[in-house]
Amino acid sequence: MAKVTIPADQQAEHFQISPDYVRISMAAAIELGLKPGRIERSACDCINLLQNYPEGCYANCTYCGLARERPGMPEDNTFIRVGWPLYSTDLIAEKIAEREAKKEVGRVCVSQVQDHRANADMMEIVRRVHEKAPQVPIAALVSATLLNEAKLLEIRDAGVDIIGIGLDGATEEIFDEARGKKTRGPHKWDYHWEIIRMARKMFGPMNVNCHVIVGLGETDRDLFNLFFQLREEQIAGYLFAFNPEPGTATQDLPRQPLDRHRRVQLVKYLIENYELSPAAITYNEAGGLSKLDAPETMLDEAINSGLPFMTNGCPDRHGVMACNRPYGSYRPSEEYRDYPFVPNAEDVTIIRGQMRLDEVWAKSISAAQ
Amino acid sequence: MSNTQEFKIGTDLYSIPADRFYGRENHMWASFDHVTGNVTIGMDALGLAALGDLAYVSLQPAGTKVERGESLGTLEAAKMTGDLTSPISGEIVERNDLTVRNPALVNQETYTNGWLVVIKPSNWENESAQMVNVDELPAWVDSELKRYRQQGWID
Repeated sequence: MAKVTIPADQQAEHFQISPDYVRISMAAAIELGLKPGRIERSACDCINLLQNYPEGCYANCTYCGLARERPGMPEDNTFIRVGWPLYSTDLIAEKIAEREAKKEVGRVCVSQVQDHRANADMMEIVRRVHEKAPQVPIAALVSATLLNEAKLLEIRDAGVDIIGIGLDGATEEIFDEARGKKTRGPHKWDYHWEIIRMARKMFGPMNVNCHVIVGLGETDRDLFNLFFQLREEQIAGYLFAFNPEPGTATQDLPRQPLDRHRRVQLVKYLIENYELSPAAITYNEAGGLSKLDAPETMLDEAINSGLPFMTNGCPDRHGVMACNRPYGSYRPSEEYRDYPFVPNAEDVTIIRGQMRLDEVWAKSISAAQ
Repeated sequence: MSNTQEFKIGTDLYSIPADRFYGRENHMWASFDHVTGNVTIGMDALGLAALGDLAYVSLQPAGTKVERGESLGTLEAAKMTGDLTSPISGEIVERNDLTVRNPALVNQETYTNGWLVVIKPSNWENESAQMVNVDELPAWVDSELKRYRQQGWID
């Protein structure tokens, strides 16, 4: 049998595990001065941290760089394509405090992976950050499968004010195919919703968010139905653009066309901010958006603001979006999927061209007939 | 004079060796080989520090003719894109496919195995005279550090 060895430069990381060590997003590492470099046209105002265990994550989501059955060692793999460097939790807490002393840190987010140590370690990481930087708001991006009511209460009592839950699939079927029983993964749709609603009750309106990936095989109808439901239950929906991760089961799945992504972003924004009615949307046989019946003034106001096309993310202590994840689901040389800043007039012109709204806007369709 | 100019950004120590020439603004280094007459081109430590850890490198193929200031390819860090402009005119005779396959090499072995292309120069004498030479190096590094800090490109 071949002997499997870990490269010498990565052996230390095998033993540098949470809660004493955490991974940090590259953008946050740059922002805290832990890594050299700059962020194109943007800054990073949310320090995203990710638990680290040598086994990676025991879940098996088809699109994720940390999947249990992904080929290679966990430390070879990347989470969202760019490596997340590993540092001691205490060093990161000190850097957050240093940065907080100069300029407010918008938010810290601690992400769990599927591991039996994840809950206890989440508490300890939150404690260490708050010990050094007590005013910084902390969100927890949790694995619902690991939680119950008592554990959610512990997270709230530890000082976490926002809970994020990766639903990722817009429907039960997509969820099962991407994360659930069809992947031999541990996640269950119904239990995710149980935890989402439990957290919503405990943390309050819009303080719980569901992550939803556009491009896992769902229809527009699936997405919009979910957005209407989330609005009804006062749960925030955060969109992510599917971006194939090399080495994962979905590495050959194409990304969504940009026109679709732009329209999904726009309709979501109208549902959330203009109380768009389900009756304003018509679907084709495949469940795709075929007609959007919305007043021109509403559309112009929403589109020209640029806000529908920004990253969805948790707010800072003043209510301003902090978690902008710059270039998290596309390369900096590519067209923006979600903008990590408010798009300017030039960006909005580009967005309009990408969205091709005339193809589905009721007024254009009527005029063409 | 020391054969390497060192500087710090935060707690990290960087170096710029004095055995080659440097583009005044694009931070490309050029090292002349007296045996072949060719020039090896790479990016210097300050240019790389402002970009970050490289994630992608693409380079023009051998045989491509370039004028000074024209593109040699593209560099892309995790969160930033960077220009890769030629500090000299000539023909690319070799490109470093190792850096295309492993862009981290450019950050890790900047002045040795992290080279980008080899160019057969067409106007080396004149163009090298316009680059930063060994005598100018300390003042140039100081002024560039100041400029980069003013721009907010480095800490």
